[in-house]
Parts: sequence; structure tokens; C-alpha cells
Amino acid sequence: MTNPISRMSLKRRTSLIIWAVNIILCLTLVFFVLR
Amino acid sequence: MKPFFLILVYLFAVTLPLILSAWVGGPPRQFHQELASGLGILAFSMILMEFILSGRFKAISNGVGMDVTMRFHQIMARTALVFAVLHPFLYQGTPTGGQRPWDPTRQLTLTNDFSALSTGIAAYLLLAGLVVMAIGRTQLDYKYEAWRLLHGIGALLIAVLLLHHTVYGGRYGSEPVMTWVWLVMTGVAAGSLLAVYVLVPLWQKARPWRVASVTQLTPKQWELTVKPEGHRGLDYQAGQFAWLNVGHSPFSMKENPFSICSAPASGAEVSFMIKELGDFTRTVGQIEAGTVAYVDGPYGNLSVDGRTEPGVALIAGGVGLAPLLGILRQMRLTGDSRKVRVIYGNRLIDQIAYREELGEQDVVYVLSEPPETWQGETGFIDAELMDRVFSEKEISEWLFVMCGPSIMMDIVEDHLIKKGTPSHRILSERFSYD
Repeated sequence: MTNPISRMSLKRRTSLIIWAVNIILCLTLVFFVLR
Repeated sequence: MKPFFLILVYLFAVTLPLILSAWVGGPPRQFHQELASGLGILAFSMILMEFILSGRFKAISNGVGMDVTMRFHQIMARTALVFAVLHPFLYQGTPTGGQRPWDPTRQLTLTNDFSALSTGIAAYLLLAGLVVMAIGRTQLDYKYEAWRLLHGIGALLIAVLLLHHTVYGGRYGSEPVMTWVWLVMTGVAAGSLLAVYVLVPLWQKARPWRVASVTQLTPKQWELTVKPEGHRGLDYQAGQFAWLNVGHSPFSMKENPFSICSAPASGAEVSFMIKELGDFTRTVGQIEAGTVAYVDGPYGNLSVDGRTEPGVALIAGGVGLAPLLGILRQMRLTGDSRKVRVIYGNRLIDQIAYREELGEQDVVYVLSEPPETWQGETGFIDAELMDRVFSEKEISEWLFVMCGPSIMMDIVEDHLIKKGTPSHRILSERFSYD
């Protein structure tokens, strides 16, 4: 099976990474608030 | 693997203050108060990391590309702004005042210390201004040097104001461990500016260059060649770019990034292809041979070195030819056995540069506004043209390297991916990051 990331343009990959980083930051925030 | 590692380092650095605050900062308060503090802490650490993401650190930008680094810098600044904007409003309803004797961990009150609050408010307003100015940079039409100076000084001021606000106003920042963490992080951020604006220029001052020639290629495009004076020159790969300062002190802000169009194999002289677009580029034709110059580089990851694909497709739009010409020259000079084919698009015939050197074999010239006598391809570099120029086998096996207007690169990249070219075989360099 082809890796789905290798079927994405650089723009989409960059966008995906930025979204992932933002989501991880928000999850860290949730951990902080709900500790 | 390198991008993944860089992302992990970024996440570690940005979340470290938040995690440490949770560890050392005493018992939690109400949900909205903790959310307010958490947003403020994250915003501050993100702002400090923006200094490192400014694009001038080769360990980052040469690993993932300057365009990706700058895009990340831009978007994370906007996220930091959103977090910062929400931060004060979520404290609504929390009592203010000095620390109560029965509340040693400041669980119950917010500070009302004027200096700590005023630095926070000043940073808040400055940050919003800085991000808005950055987003509207092209519309506001600043001089490039003025823009760099304003952005750098503004960012440094925000970092210092936020350090004061966090340490003197924050419940978590006032913990000794956190004060040290913030001091070190702010120090690293400020140090990165010092490296870019003081240490690199000092190093450049000891390694001057001289302009060897300035050649007009087309009515608005020039080739500027510099040669090293008393040193070995630049250790670069074909396709990379460098910051060029001609005729000014290495400490001045008057430097611009340009793609290198010469090949490393051609010797120590380095050539740049420059299109007249802004303040400096409009005066390139007036530069005299012998003028002192400084070069900071190389930057960028647009390189075909070490690649094993059987062929290399070079797709250029306008002045985007520069790095690809460097690659082509290097391949020709080193007798590279890989096949190579060039598509070079322009609007008008007199915008075609280096036509004699490029030749006609395996070079496809495309004009969107051709003269009546034009026999070559017309229109834009699009999916249909790609299919005419490259066979199915070439599209699935070759390495594609692109540089030019965003719209051209989007169309070509989307088409290649649709036709089955894996993304790791498409290399690109963008001039604009939006």
C-alpha cells in the first residue's frame, strides 16, 4: 500500500504538520488545565 | 527523518515551560484561570521559538527548506497571537491584589502590580501590531531593510516585555525554576538575533568578496558574479541560495536572498541571477566591478546531489531558472550521466535568459505571450504540457525540480502526484510563503 503522505504535495504536507503541531499544543494545554 | 526530529525538538521546547509549570507551580485553580495561564505560557514559548524559526539557521532551513521553515514561522506566530489574545480575558472574575498570607501559592488572586501588568499590555499590543504588519507586508510596501529592522526590534522588545510580565506578574513564572527557564529561553532567542546581526557579519567582514562582473541578461534580469578575496569562497551545492550584500557594511540590513546560478564545479566565483523587483534589484545595473560584497550562505535544500533517479526534470518559471541553471551547469560540468530535460516558461520572448547556453536539445521554451513567429510551446506550464514533454515512465521514475511562481508549482506538483510521482521525488523552492 502506498504511504498516503507520499501522495501529498509539499503544501499539504506542511499544512498537515502545522495542524498536527497545533493539536499537540492544545492537548498539552488540556493536560495542564485538567491536571 | 530530519523534519520529524526538528518537529519533536520544537514541540519539546514549546511545551517544556507548560509541563514544568504544572510540575512546580502548586495546586491548580479554576478551569478558566488555568486555561488563561496555560495559553499565556504557550504563547510566550512559541514567540521565543519564532526567533529560531526565522530562517537563518542552516540546521533547520537546509533540512526542510526555507519556504517550509518560513511558512511554519508565519502560521505559528498567528497561533501564538490567538493564544495571547485569549490569555487576559479568561481571567475574568478572578480577585486581584497582593499575595494573601494564607495563600502562599497565589491560588486565589491575580497580581495588580502595575509594572508587571503594563509590560504584558505593551507586549500584547506590540505582538498584534507585529503580526498584522507581517501579514500585510506586501500591501504596505515597506523597504525590505526597514521591514527587517522593525520586525527584529519589535520581536526582541516583545520577548523582553513578556519576560518581565511572566516573571513578575505570573503565578508560575515567579517560581524560581520557571524564572530560570524563561531567562534561558529568552537568552537563546535574543542570542539568535545577536548571531544573525552581529556574529555572522563579523565572520563575513573577515571573508569579503568583490564583484567580478555584472551582465545584463534580459531587459530586467542580470547576472552578478562575485569572487572571494583572500579566502576559499562558498562551499555550496548547485541549486542553493545565499544572502548577498553589495557595497554596504556587513552590519547593515542591506542584504537580500538570491539563488545561485553558477555551479560549484566552475570554481570559486559565485553568480546570482537577479530580476529587477525591489529597491536593491532595480540598481543592480549600476554596480561596478570591484565593489565589495558579502555572502551569507548557502541556504536551501534544492539539490540533486546524491539522488539516484535515472533522469532530472528542471521546471522553471521566469527568474526561477536561477537555481535550476546552477544544477544544469553542475551536471554538464561534471559529466553527470543522468538524463536531464528543462522546461522554461516566460511571458515574453525577450525575457528568456541564457538561451544560447541552455541550447535547444532537451530544453522546452514556453511563452504565454509569444510573438507571431514563435514556433515553440505556448501558454503556461500546466498538466497538458507536462504530459507532452514527459512520458509516463519518466513521470514515475525521474526527479522533478521546480522553481517559479506559486501557481505554476502548484499545478505541476498536483499533476505529478496525480500521475503517481511520489512526493519525495518532487523538489521545489518558493519565493513567497503564503
